[in-house]
Amino acid sequence: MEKVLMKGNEALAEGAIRAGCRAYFGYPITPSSEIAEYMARKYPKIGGVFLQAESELAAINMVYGAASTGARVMTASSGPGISLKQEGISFIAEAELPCVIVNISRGGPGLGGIQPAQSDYFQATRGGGHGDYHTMVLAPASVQDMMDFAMEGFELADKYRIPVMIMAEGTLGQMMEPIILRDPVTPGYEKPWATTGCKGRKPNVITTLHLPPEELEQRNRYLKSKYDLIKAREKRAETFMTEDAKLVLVAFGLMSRVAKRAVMEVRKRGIKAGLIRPITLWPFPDEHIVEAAENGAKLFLSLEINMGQMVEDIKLALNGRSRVEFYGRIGIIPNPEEIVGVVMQIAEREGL
Amino acid sequence: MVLPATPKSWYLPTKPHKFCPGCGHGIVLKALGEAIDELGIQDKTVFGCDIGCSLLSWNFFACDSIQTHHGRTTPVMVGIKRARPELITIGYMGDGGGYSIGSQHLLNAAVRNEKITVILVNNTNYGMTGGQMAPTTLPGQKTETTPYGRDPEITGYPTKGPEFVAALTSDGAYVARGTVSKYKQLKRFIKNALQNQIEGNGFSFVEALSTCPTNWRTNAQQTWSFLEDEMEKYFPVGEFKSPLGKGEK
Ligand SMILES: Cc1ncc(C[n+]2csc(CCOP(=O)(O)OP(=O)(O)O)c2C)c(N)n1
Ligand code: SF4
Repeated sequence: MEKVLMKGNEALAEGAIRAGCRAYFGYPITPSSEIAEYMARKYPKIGGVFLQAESELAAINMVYGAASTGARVMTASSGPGISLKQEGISFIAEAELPCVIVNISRGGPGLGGIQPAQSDYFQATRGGGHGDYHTMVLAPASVQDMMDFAMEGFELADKYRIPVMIMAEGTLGQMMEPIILRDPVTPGYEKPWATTGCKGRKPNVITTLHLPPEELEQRNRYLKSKYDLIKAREKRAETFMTEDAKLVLVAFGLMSRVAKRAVMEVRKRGIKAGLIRPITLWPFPDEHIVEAAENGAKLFLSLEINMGQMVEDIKLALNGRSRVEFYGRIGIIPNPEEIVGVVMQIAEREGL
Repeated sequence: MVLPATPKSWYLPTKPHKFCPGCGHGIVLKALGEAIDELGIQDKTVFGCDIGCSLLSWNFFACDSIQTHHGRTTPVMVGIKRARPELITIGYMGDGGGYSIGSQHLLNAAVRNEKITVILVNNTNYGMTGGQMAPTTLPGQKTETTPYGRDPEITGYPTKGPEFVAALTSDGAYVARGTVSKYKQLKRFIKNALQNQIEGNGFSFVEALSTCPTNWRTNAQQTWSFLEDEMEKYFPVGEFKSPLGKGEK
C-alpha cells in the first residue's frame, strides 16, 4: 500500500475527516494549531463546519451543541486550553455526548512551555473537571497512530456515548512520518437521543440536572456501570519481551518508542528487560501489568515526560506485588542511550 | 373555571411551572410559546436554557431541549446551529448568564452575526442564587452583595445589553428590548427575533425586562412599580435594530 509523508497533527485531522467528522471548533494554541488550520483548509471544500471560537470555553460548548445533534465533532488544544475545556467536558460526559477532544500536550503547570510533555496525565485520566466521571484516553506513539486513533476515537465515542480524549506529546503533533492513509468510514450509529427537532417523535431533552438525591445517585451508579463495562472491554496495551522479563519498563506515547529501543539494547547486554506501552491511559491496562508481574517481573520502571504521574496507576495495578521506580524528564524526550544508562544502573544494583 | 389558554408548544406535564408567584419568567416563556406556535416551528426548534432561574425551563417546552452551563448557552446554540442550520435554536438565559459569566460568548456571537435567537431575562439580580448583584442592578439598588445599594464608583453602571449588541452586530441582526408589562409588544419582539432567524438574516436578540418579587422583597404593587417606574426608565424599551422593516420604539 502506498505511503504518504504527513505531520502528526495533520494525520490526526485527516483521520477525523475520514471518520466522518464534519465539525470542528477550536482556539489556537501551540503545538496543536495545525489541526485547526488543516480543518480550516479542508472543510470548506467538503461541506464541513470549521469555526474559530472566541475561547476554549466557547469551543467545548460548541462541541456540546454540535454533538447533541448527533454530528461527529472534534476540538483540539493544549495544556492551558484543555484546562479551560474541563468545565464543558464534565457536562459532555454527564450528558453522554460522543465527541473527540485532542490534547497535543506541553509542559506545565501555569503557562509552562511548549516543549513536549506528558504532564496532563492526571488531568486526562482522572476526569479532569468536576464530578465523578471519566473520558476514554488514547495515547498515540506514531504519526500512523495519530490517524488511526482519531478514527478509532470516534467509534469508541459513539459506541459508549463518551467523550474520547487523544493525548499526544507536542513532538508527535509536529513530526513527520510516512503513513498509510486509511479508507474513509461512514458513521453507522443510530442516535435516537439527538436534539434534531421533534418532527414525528417525542421531544428529546438533554440535561445534566438531577436534583433529587436518589436520582443523582442512580445516575452516578449508571455512569459507573458504563465505566466498568469500558474497563472490562477496552483496556489496550502493547507488550514487548515481557514473557521472561525481570525488569519491565512502562511508557506511553513517544516515550514508549525510546523505551523499546532501550529494551532491545539492554537485551543485547544480557538484561532481561521488557516493555509495556499503555495505549488506553484510561482505562489503564492494569491486567497487562499484573501478568508481567506474574511472569516474574520484580521491578517496574515507569518512564514518563513528567514527574511520575503514571507511577500511581502501576502501583495500583500491582497492589504490592512488585516494586515500582520512576525516571522522567520534562520538556525533553530522553534518547535511548540515556534510558539504557538508567536501566543498566538499576540492573547492576539489583543484580539482574 | 376558565383556564388561561396555554401555548401548544408548552409541555403540559411540567405545568404549572415552578417559578415563584409574580415572577416574570413565566410571562416571557408564554410569549415565546405563543410565538413558536404562531410560526409553526415547534418540531424544528431546539430550546436551550442557561443556569439561573432560566434552568427551571429545561423541560418547559414540547420541543427538543438542551440544558447548558451557566453562561454557556450561547456557544451551545451556536454549535447546534452550525452543525444543523435547518434547526431553529433559541437560547434562554438570565442577565448574569448573558452579560457577566457568558459575556464573551454573547459579544462574539453578536460580532459573528450567528443565526441564532437569544432571549435574555433582565431582572436586575441573580435570582437563583438568592438575589446578589447582577450586571443590570440599578444604581443605588440593594441586593445581597450590595447591601448599601449599588455604588457605580465601585461596580460600574448597569450593562445595557441590547445597546451593546446593536453596536456590535452588522446588517441582518435583530435587537430589541421588551418588558413583561407590555405583553403584546414583548411577544411581537420575540416573534420578530424568531422570524429573523427563520429568514437567516443574522443574530437575533431580545432582552426582556422582568420581575423577581422574591429577591426584590416586594409586594405586587411595588413589584410592578419597580418594573415600570425604575427599570423601564433606565432601560428603554423598543427595537434597536431590525431588518424586518422599520424599527418600533
Ligand atoms: C460556573 C458557575 N458559577 C456560578 C454558579 C452559580 N449560579 C447559578 S445561577 C447564577 C446566577 C443566576 O442569575 P441570572 O443569570 O441573572 O439568572 P436569574 O436566576 O436571575 O434568572 C449563579 C451565579 C454556577 N451554577 N456555575
Ligand atoms: S427567584 Fe426571582 S427570578 Fe427566580 S423564579 Fe423566583 S421570582 Fe423568578
